[in-house]
This record gives sequence, C-alpha cells and structure tokens, in this order.
Amino acid sequence: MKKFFAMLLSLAMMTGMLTGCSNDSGKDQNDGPVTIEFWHSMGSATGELIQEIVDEFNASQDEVIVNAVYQGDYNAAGTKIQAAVSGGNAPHVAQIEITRVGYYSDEGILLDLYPLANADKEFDLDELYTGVMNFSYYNDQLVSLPIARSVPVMYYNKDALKAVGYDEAPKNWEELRDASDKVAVDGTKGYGIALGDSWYYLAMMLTAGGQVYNEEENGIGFYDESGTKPLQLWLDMLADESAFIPEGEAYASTSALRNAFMAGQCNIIMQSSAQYRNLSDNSEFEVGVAYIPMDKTYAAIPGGSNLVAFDGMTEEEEEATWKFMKYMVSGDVSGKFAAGTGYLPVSDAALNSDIYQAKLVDYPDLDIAVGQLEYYVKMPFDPTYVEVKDNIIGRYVQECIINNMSPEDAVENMYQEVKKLYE
Amino acid sequence: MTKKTKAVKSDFAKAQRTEKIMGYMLALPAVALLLAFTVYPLFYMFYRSLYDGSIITKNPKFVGMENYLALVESKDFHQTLTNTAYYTLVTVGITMVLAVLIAVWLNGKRNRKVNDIAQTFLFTPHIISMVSVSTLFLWLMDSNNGLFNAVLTALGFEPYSFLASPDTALFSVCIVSIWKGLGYYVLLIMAALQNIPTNVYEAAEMDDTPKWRTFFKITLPMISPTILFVSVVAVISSFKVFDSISVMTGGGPVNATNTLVYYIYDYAYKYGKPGQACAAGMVLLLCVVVVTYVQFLVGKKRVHYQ
Repeated sequence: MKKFFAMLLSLAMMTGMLTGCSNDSGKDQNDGPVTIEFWHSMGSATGELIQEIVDEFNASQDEVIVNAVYQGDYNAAGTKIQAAVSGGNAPHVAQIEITRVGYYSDEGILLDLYPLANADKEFDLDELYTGVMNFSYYNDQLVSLPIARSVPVMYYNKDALKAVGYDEAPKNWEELRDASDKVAVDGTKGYGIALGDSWYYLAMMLTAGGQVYNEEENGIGFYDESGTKPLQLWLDMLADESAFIPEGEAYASTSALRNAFMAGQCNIIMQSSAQYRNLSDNSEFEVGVAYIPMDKTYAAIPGGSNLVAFDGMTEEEEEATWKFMKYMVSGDVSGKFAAGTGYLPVSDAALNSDIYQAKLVDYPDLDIAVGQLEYYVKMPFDPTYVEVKDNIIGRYVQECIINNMSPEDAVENMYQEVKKLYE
Repeated sequence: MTKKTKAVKSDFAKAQRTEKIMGYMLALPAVALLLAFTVYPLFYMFYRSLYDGSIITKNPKFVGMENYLALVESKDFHQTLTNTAYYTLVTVGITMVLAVLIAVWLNGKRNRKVNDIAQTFLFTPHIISMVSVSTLFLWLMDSNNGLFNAVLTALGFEPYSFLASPDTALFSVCIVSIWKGLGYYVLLIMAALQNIPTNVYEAAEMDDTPKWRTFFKITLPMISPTILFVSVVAVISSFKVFDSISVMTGGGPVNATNTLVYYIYDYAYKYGKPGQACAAGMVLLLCVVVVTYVQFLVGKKRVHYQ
C-alpha cells in the first residue's frame, strides 16, 4: 500500500510538471482597469525615462494600467518576442526595431490600428511627420506607430574643428576629407567609421544618389557609382590615416565608436541622432551636430523603433492598447521623450512642446536631425530586409574595407546575393 | 491459457515484479524530462528543417530538402563549418597539450606552495562567466589601446591585430576559450595523475628509465581514459561555442568568426529562417555524433583501462 502511494505521488508530480507551464493568465472581464503588457528595448537612462512616462500615463487615468517590461536591446527583445508569439503569450504592445516590423506584418499577427485611429476624433494621423511614418502602413493596414525614431547624423568635436579653420561642420565629402585630414594630429584621428553597422554606409550611399532598393523592390538600388563611391572614400581616408576603425564589442560596433569619440581619439563620427544627449553629456569638448555630409544630395535613412500591438486581444484590451499608443505619440509625450534622449519628435506638436523647446537652450543642436527629416528616403518594408542589411550589405562593406575586395566587386556581390534572395 | 495465468505465482516472483515496476517509476521523471527536452526537440528540429517560414508563422510550407540545399550552396555556411573545425582543433589541441603538461608539473612533489597558488590561479577563470571574460578580453585585445599590444610594443614586437583583422580574429577567440577552460581540464587530469599507483614509478626509477620515457610509456597510458573523456567534453563544448562569439565579434569581421551555433541563432531569430537554422542544427548534430564516435573508436585502440 505504501508503495502504491509512492507511485501515485510520483505520477501526480509528473502530471503537475507537465501541466505547470500551460497556465494561461486569465483576461479580466470585470469593470476594473484593464492591464496591458508593454515590452520595450530602452535600457539605462532612456529606460528610466520610458518608465517615468508610463507611470505618468498610469496616474493620468484609471481605466488602463500599463505594465512596462524591459526586454533587452533590439536583438534580445526580438528573440523574446518571437518566442512569446509562437508560444501564444505575446505582449499587448511591443517596441520593435523598424526594419523588423515587416517581418511581423508579413505574418499577419499585428493589430491593424487604422480602425481605432480613424474612429478616434481626438487623433489625427496626418499630424505625424511623413518622414517617420515609412514603417507604418503595410498592405493598407496601420501596423505601427513611431516612438523612438532616429536618423544618422554627423557629430563633430567643435573645439578641434574650429582650431583647424572649420567654424561650421563639413557639408560635403571633400570637406569631410579635408577636415579629417587637418584635424588628425598628435595621434588623434579625423573620421571614425563604425564598420559593424551598415546603416552608415547606406546613409553615405544615399547622399551619392543611390536608393536602398530598386524600383521593383527586388534588388539593391545602388548597383552603380553610388554604391562604390562611399567605399572608395573610406578606403582613401583609411589609407592616408585621416580615418580609423575603432574596435570593441561585436566588432567595430557603434558603441565602440562612441567611446572613441568621447575619449577624443577621433573628431568626426556618424551616429544615430538619438545619441546626442549621451555624447554631449559625456564629452569634455563641445559636441556639434550636422547633416550627413553629401556627395550629391542630403539624405536621411530612417532608424530606431516603432510601437506595434499584437492581434487577438479582447475589445477592451484593444481600446486600452490604443489609448496607450495614442498617448505615446502625443505631442507632449513625444516631446518629452525626444528632449530626454535625442530621438526625433514625431510631430510639430512634439517639436513645439514646451519641454522640447526648453531643452534647446542647453542643447542647441538637438533639433538639427529634425531638419534632416525633410530628406527622408523610401525604404524597403518586407521581411527580407534584415538579412539584406545585416548579412549581405554589412558583410561586403567589411570585405571591401578590411579584406582587400575592390569596391566594384563588393557592390557586384551585394547585387548578386540580394537578387538571389528575391528569386 | 487462462488456466496458466490462474496459477499462483510465488511470493518471490511477485516481489521481483513490483520492484521492477518501481524501478521504472523512479526513472520515469528523468526519462520524461529527457524525452520532453532532448528527444522531442531533436525530432522537431528535423521536422522543422523540412519546412519554410518564420518562427511565428502559422502555416509553415513544406519544402523538402531545400533548406539543406541552401546550406550546401551557401558560401557563408561553408566558411562557418571551416571556422568551427578550426576553432575546435586549435582550442582542443592546445588545451589538451597544455593541460597535460601543466598537470604533470603541478603534480610534481617540489615547490608545493607555488603549485597550490598556481593551481588556484589556473582554476579561477573557469568559475567566471564567459560573458565577463569576453568583455575583459575585448579591452585587453583592442589593437589600438589594449594592454596586450602595449606590452608587445614595449617589448619591441609588432602590434598584433587580434580581433580587428579577419586573419587573426578566430585565433584570438580561441585564446580566450583556452585561457578560460585550461584550469578545469588541468584539474581533471591531475585527479587522474594522483590515481596512478606509485609502485609503477618506483619500478621505472629502479630501472633508470629516462624522464621522457616514463612520461610517454607510463604517465600518458595511465591517464589515457581521462584524456579521452576530457577531449570528448572539450570537443563538444567547442562545437557549441556561442557566448564569446556573440560578445566579442558578432561573427565578424567578414564572417571570420562565425561558427555553427551563432549561425543557427542568426538564421532562426534575426533573419527569420528557422528552417535553415534547423537544417544547420542537424548538421551540427551529425558533426558531434561522428566526431565523438571516431574519438571512442580511436580510444578503444589507444586507451588503457586499468
């Protein structure tokens, strides 16, 4: 009898173990506030700011409670979101890096926000800048709203450049070369290149007149001089030692480049506009912001992340989700977030908000990136783009710059490999 | 038939049977866990490798061997395989040779105190997390401002490019894993050394056997079972390298440090192609099975169990 109980006990433990993980959190149906889960990717100071904004939202009304959870950087959060979605435990709202929004849209798992936005009399979609809405409409559905959007800009050491006769930032490639050359003295370098992120190569390519994708959207749009010219420029500048490539985390990453800039190892870098506060606060010199120097035209390649909501929630939850998302893109909130970080204000209301305008006193170059938005470009919006950008373009940029492949061969390879993906 | 079953079994047989069932019941939780978390995912991985579509897709499309064909055609994947093989050979090779030499030295009777301290220092890296170690080495190996190059140039050598060049990056990652793993393997081999009966050595000493001969003819054969075990463990862990790659190089520069597991991660989660990732996973499985089998085959001939 004793043994029988022992067996029964172990069986019970077994079944408990197996069913333990399938416990679904019950959606509350009562009249109390609706709780929604919000996953974001903003760490450290920016994360605290997000939490502050969410807390203010929670305090401002009593119908919705938002539970904000930091899930790591875009890569880590992306992994967790995919796991959660496939396990049927998706959060209500998530912050997703823009180039990956297409991936989720393509699976049809994102909530179409358009009906909610359209029905809302207090909300006007047209108020949001066109330049930050390029990852929002997918097959006529409104799948995401801009939150932490950025464009690459050029940061420069104002003191150092002034000393060599550049009272203003270099405007075109010749000036960039010239300034880098002149400022590279006593072991410091001029222009620092983050080879780990192809965003900056694309930004330069766009100023040389190329497009990211071709007209048919099935191949690269810089299979010509515009693709090879930035590579040649970098090679030339590295050869005459006016430029350098920093090292560090995940090979020549942007964070390594920022460290080099703040430490005074180089004087000109290209970085996300969202880094302005960080660079300015942590450098001992005056940090200037300028447009990405142009070859033929200015251009602003979009970056950063959007807010999405996942399909399959109850009507109450949808309403609560919309309320929260609307709040996040409203003028004062976007203005506060932009002022606190350097991300772009998403509308004129945000740009003109008191908090943003007040910050311009201390950080006069904060709104320069906003001006660059005027030169926004058309971006591919499909699931393949992540692989194109990170695996193919990034790889052949490196092949060219540090592995002796000619710029022409590098662009030829990009062309061929991207073509293969769309066949 | 019914008459036979009616026959009363002896108490002994009955007790034996209950005991048998009890044994299975006790093993059940472990077996169930193994089935749920090892065997089932294995089969699911094979199943998924035949399908297209992302992780979050609702209706994956059957594509047969297409994912495997994509791997065969992919130059990146070939490089990934070569990288993994290089990483494994270099890491395991250098680790094994160093571990045996250091273990023999530490096991020596002289300088007891020095040995104790050396042993502690050698073992410490093993308990530090790989991510911290990788971050530390990132600083040390920075070719512009790192400590290693500062020392090299101070000694009059040319600075080494470490992680900055595709030619040296993979070896640099190997160095980290050798540094971290060495102490653990030294400890295992030392334990084996201490199990060698002293009378064998005494006999050798009486015969005036040279030191190197004692080492090759006595010490090595006596610890060969441990060496086999250690090398199998080291090879498998080398095949699975991920953390250091993820932190230090992200597979770069120019794919030079992309290894199998990192490739799988990239394709499953970043590029949304879990089918191809699973196919690569099957290749990894095959590699580990074949290599381990060969190791045991060689072991059968070369390893002397007491």
